[in-house]
Order: sequence, then C-alpha cells, then structure tokens
Amino acid sequence: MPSYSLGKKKNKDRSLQPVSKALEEWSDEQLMQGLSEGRLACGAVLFERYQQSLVNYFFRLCKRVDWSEDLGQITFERIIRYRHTYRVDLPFRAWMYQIARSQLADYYKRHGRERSGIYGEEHRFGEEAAVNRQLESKEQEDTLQKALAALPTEYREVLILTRYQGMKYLEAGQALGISEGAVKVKVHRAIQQLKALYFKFDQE
Amino acid sequence: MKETKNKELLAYLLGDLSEKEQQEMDLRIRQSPDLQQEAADLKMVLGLLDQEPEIKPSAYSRDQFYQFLEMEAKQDQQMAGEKASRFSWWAAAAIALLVIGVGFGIVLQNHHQQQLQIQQLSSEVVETRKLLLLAMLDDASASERIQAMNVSARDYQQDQRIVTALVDRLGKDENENVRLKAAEALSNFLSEEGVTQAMIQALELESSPEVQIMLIESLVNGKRKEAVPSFERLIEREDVPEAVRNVAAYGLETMI
Repeated sequence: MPSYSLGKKKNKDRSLQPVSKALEEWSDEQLMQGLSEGRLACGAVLFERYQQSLVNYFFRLCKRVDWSEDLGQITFERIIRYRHTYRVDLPFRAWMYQIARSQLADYYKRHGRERSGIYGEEHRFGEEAAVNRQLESKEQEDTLQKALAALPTEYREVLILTRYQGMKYLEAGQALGISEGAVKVKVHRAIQQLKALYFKFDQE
Repeated sequence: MKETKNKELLAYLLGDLSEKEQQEMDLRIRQSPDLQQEAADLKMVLGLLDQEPEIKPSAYSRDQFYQFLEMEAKQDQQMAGEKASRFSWWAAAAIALLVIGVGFGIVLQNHHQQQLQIQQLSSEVVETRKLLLLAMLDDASASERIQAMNVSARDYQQDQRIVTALVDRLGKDENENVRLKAAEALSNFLSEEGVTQAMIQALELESSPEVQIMLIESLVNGKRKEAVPSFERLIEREDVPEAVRNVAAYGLETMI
C-alpha cells in the first residue's frame, strides 16, 4: 500500500529523479538508428533535445513565431515519417537541417517571401512566446536587428547554424550542401558585413 | 591591406587559427591600437549576436507531436498486424496441405511474439511520455510544472508514479499556483489509495487560501467523509481567513 509523506514545505526540494537514463544518454545517431528500427520512443527524445533550437532556427530566418512553430512541427513529423531514409554516416543534425531548409523553402513558395515580414508588422516578441531579454540596451538590439535584416539570407543562415546551434563548419556544410571551407568563408564574410552594417546603422 | 588584417583578426577571434598563428596574432594585437579597436568592435557585435533573444515553443506543439507519434505507433501496429494475418493465411494453407500440428504451433508462436513486440513499442512511447511528464513536474519553471499537471490529469490517471509526483508537488512546491494546480489535478485521483489522506494533510499545512479552498472543494465534491474532522479543526483556527472557514463550514453541512 502506498503511503505519502508530507514533510514541512522546503523551498528547493527536488527529490524526483527525472527521465529514463537509458535513452536520454544515447547519441543522436544512435537514437535515429533506434527510430528507424521502429523504436518510436527515440523520436520523443530527439524531439525534446532539438525542438527549441529548431524552432529558433526558423524564427531567426523568417521572424514569425507562428510559422516557426509550424515548421518545427512539420520537420519533426518528416523526421519520424522518413526515418528509414536516414543514413548513419551523416550527423543527425545535418540531416535535420537539410529537411528543415527544404520545408522553409516550400513554405516561402506557398506563402510568399514578402509576407515573411522580417521586421515588418509581424515582427513582435513576447506575445505568443516567452522571450529572454538580456540585452543591455534596446537601442543596440534594434540596431543589430536592422543589420541582421540587411544581411543576405545565406549569411544569416551560416551564422545561425554555427553560432546558435553550435555546429562545426563541417557539420554546417553537410546541412547546407557545401564544403567546410565554404562555410568558413561565409561565416567570416557574414560577420564582417554584419559589423559594417551595425556601425552604419548605429551612426544614423 | 586593412582587409587582410581584418580577416586574420576575425579568424583569431573565432578561434579558427592554429595555436601558433593565434599566439602571433595575440602579439600583434597588443602592439597595435588599431587592431585593438577593431577587435573590440567585432567582439561587441559578436556579443550582441549571441544575446539575441530566443523564442520558446508552446506546450501545444509538444502535445501535437506526441499525438502524432502515438498515431504513427498505431499505424505500425496495423501494418504489422496485416502482415501477420497474411502470413498466418499462408501458414493455414500449408497446414491444410501438410497437416503438421507442429508447424501450426510455431506459426502461432511467431504471431504471438510479433504482437508482443508491437505492444512493447507503443507502450514504450507512452512510457517515455510519462517519464518526460515526470521530469516536467520537476522542472525549474513553474509554468512547465503547471502544464505537466494539465496533461497528467487528462491522460494518466492510473499511473502510480504520476499520482505520487502530484502529491509531492502539492506538499512541497514553493509556488502557490503549482500547488493549486496539483490540488485540482489530484481531485481526479481521489479514489486512488492515499490521495485523500494526502490532501487532508496538505490542508492542515497549507497557508494559501486559494489552495485551501481548492482542497476543501475537491474533498467535498468527492464526498470524502474522512475529511470531516479536519474541516472541523480548520473552522476553529483563527489564523485561517474567514472566507476559507466559510467554505469549510458549508462543505461540512453538505457532507453530513
């Protein structure tokens, strides 16, 4: 018979031990392997691991909260549905972003890029989603936003993959279908250009 | 000339240079105020970039995904089921021809094993979901904990671990809203052993009027007569707000 003990309220009581150790500790590629062998629970772990960064990948490119959540969803459903086509020699994340990119391209085709509203009316934080604001000054943030908006998409994309998703040049290259060296060149150009744009807008 | 310097400087800041090149650049920067200024500018932009806000996906999309996953598991099950039935049809034909009882036994066993495997798969999905819920119940953010409770109360009434986790939150959570939600969720589990007792105990320890009222109402709605003495004690307590005592008194009337 179960019994429940109710101690005095302690502020930081964290006695519960979370989540099955086994699957949680698997690498992405092991989980994909498991998934393609039909262990769908592996998909749940991958989802928990990458949903947030995937949705933010979309958000940083299209700047729409609703699209980003949708696209994240579609991408994960594809990952599950096409699990049998995954090749183990490709890092999982590279494969995931390959799928993600083609979904975004599809979305643009269907909805029109002009409506992506980068920094237009649709650009708003904090209503549909909780946002961490740590920037010291609103002005700096706005200037950076402007500079980012003026940056070509291909540059923004390499920045997202390497800076936010923490991918190495090689892995990002696999996701983008270009060489490691090409990624490096793009990252460097992107940052140089971003910096130039930032100071240009800053003086305006 | 300046362009080349920039390139190397950036490679230096991004850690793309070899260790030797990195050291050389270090030295050059120290000797050149221009490079220092340039490096500071780049660092600032990189710093700002890294602080760009993130959005947090809604709990709704998590829910959607898990629904999709469970559907997929069911489809797998159906497909495997069809295969299995075709297989046993052929097996039946073979049996009719060969009349080998032993063969029949083996086929049956295969079929059975396949079914077992399928069951295992879909219960694995459910199990993972439960474990994630348990982890969410223990999450640092109160809104995550509340969200987890909504799902728990809706989908997993029979799972002992989840009930235990809810009882734990009711007794120990520092956030009032979480305790309130836990009390609400637990009102679905009143028939589980120990839950009523835990709610009565929580009522004695609870300091928030909202949670107290939720507990009283849950116990009254569930017609838990065991709670009567504790209601009586509550009515006598002067540190308890009058509104709460009124609810308890009204509850007593309806129960007795």
